[in-house]
Amino acid sequence: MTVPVSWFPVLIVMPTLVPLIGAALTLVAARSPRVQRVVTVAAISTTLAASLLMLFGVSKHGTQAIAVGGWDNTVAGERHKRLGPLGITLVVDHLSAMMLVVSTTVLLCVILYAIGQGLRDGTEAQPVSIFQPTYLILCAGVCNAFVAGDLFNLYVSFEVLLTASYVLLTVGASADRVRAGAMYVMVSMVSSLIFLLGIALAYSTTGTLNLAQMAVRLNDGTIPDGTRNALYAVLLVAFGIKAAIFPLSTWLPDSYPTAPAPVTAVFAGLLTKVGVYAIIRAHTLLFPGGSMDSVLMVAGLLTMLIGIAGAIAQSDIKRLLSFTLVSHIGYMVFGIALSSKIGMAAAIYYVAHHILVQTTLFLVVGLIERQAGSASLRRLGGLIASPVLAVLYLIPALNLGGIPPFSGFIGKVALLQAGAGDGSALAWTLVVGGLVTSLLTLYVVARIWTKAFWRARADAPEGALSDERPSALMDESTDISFSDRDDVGSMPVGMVIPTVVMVAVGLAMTIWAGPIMNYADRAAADVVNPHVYIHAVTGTPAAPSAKGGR
Amino acid sequence: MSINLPLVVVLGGIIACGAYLLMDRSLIKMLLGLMLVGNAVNVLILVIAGDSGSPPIRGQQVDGRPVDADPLAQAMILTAIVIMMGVAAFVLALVYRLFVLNRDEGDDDDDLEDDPEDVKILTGSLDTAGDRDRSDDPVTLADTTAGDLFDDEGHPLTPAQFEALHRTVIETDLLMTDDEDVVDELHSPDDPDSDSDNYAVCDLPSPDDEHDDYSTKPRDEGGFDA
Repeated sequence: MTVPVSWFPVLIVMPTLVPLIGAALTLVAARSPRVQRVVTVAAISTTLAASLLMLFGVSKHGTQAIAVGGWDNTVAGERHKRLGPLGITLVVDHLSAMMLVVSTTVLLCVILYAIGQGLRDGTEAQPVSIFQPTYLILCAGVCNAFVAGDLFNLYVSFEVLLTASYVLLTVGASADRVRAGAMYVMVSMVSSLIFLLGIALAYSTTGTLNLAQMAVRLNDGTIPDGTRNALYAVLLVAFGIKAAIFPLSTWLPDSYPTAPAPVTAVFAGLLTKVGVYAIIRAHTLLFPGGSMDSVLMVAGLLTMLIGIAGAIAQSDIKRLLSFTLVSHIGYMVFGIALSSKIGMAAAIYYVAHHILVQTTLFLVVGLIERQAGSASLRRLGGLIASPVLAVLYLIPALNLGGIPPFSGFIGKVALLQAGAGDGSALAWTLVVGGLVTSLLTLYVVARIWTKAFWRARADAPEGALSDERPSALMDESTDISFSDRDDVGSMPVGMVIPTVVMVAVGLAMTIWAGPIMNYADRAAADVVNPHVYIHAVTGTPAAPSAKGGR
Repeated sequence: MSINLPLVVVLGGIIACGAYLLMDRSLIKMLLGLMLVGNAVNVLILVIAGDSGSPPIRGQQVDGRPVDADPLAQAMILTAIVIMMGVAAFVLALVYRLFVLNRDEGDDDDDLEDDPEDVKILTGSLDTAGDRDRSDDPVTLADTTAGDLFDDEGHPLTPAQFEALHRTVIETDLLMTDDEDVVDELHSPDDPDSDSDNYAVCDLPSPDDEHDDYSTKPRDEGGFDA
């Protein structure tokens, strides 16, 4: 499949523009749920198609950059030729294209699932008409973050996706969602302000916001190392809060589990990974040379171990999975911190794998809630009676735990190889920590399996209670009580099919692990060599800078 | 470029005040803190944008030399202000919602509620704890052989009360194997001696009723020590 370079100026803005236009249309059509659904699915499908085209185009032509509004060096004249673009730049390289494809796939499956679920399981009074516009704005924010070639544009796309996520998290505005939402808003705003602080400092240091130009100026030897490290530290704190890296991760298990299942699923899959993506960009493009490697390694190790220790202590599946989410962010930080091509390739593969698997698991928990009326291990039991649900849970669960031959195993082996290849004592500690975390993850998902699926419902300590009112689905007295519902125990096809598709995509990552790992390798090669990116944006030939990546 | 020192001092002071307000439990005060810090960061961008009084257009003359103020910094401040305004509006909506919810419960403030899971960990109470190990004393959380024989206040339970609690609350598959004798003493609620306050004087019933599965259940289903 060939995608000409001339398509890129159109393609590259589509992941941002199409969902935004879709959001406007769905808002206009707020009174017609059917139109809303059609527009939403069409917008996200178009985005997915554009992302796939860019994926093919980038793997053929390499990194592509456009200057929005034509504010590139040709407009500014010869005088600014060496400065690169004046306006906002959008860049798509291997990593961006892959993140776009994975994210839009997840977004499409989750919106289909949400449509199947009816968002709040049939409560009429809920303001569902704002769900789909907000979801599309979240989609625009996520996609724009992946193509932003400008630090302030990255900040704005973060804000766009965060503002949408505030609304999605507090939809329905029950007491626990307001509590969780208020805390989430505060933590996110603090991280955004730290990010803005970092932008201000970086701008005053380099005089530019363009990532490529900033990379050149930060690494041409004129900026003292201390200033560089201070800048990196400020940005790392901001991105670390968003990516939920220990010790900046405590907000996550408190806020995610209260949201409806599709919202939690898309948050778990995408929002933290946007933070990880930003860390990859900062680590390789702006601050190559690995000055923060040991900090990131220690943070990654602690994230892995403390996250999984939290998961062991939980009895609510949603909270438990939120803790495994935190834990597995540690693997990605591990890969990034190695600062090697093989480590980065493993991290990129692991990011893609984890987006798919974690989202799938949260979707399955939504099905469990739907089926059994609860997501608490103290109330669940006997779910093995539904073999479809059992298979849907077991495959991503084993995948998360890293059982061969699933993609989780491939990603972890690649990470461990990269860690062993690094050879330092800290890297070996991380390898051991990664193995321990992997085993504990397996223990945690097996515990869900034995309790929720294998154990008889009567043996669950609160098994009888779960029939009364499913707290995770319905949290206020205005909701329909479980006994009034006529669909108890049924699994809507509209929810099962997107979940099956997600499981299938996860399996496809195993079957085509070779090509995908190859692609991740090329993405990593692009990323660890910042000159590729700088060349694509500024057009200057790739001159090695004083502090090039190793 | 010279730094505008008074502005730097002012923004430091604003950030300090904002950080102090952020520590509060009241959402309104936290919002005020956020807005203060946000404004301070905007002032920081203003400080780094260069000298005051210059026009934001290239090629203008001030005192005979070409200078320009940085239009990018002003664009950034404008964007940041708009974003902060939107989020502040959203937080105010949350505060109002919290006020409405709390007013129904007769407690009208806008304090952020405690996380229920944190409360569970802090109180360690019998009916809210998660996967409890039955060897925990509910008050001290120390290991005891018969920890679950106490209620929330630490008073010993009668076997009948314990049986009732056990059926609804306690994780049945986390029993310690060496506690079986204790459980065996307890698991007949209609035992004539079961209303005794002291579980130790209960007669040993025959293990034949339908509730005896929690004492003989195998423990290899994913308990903590599996």
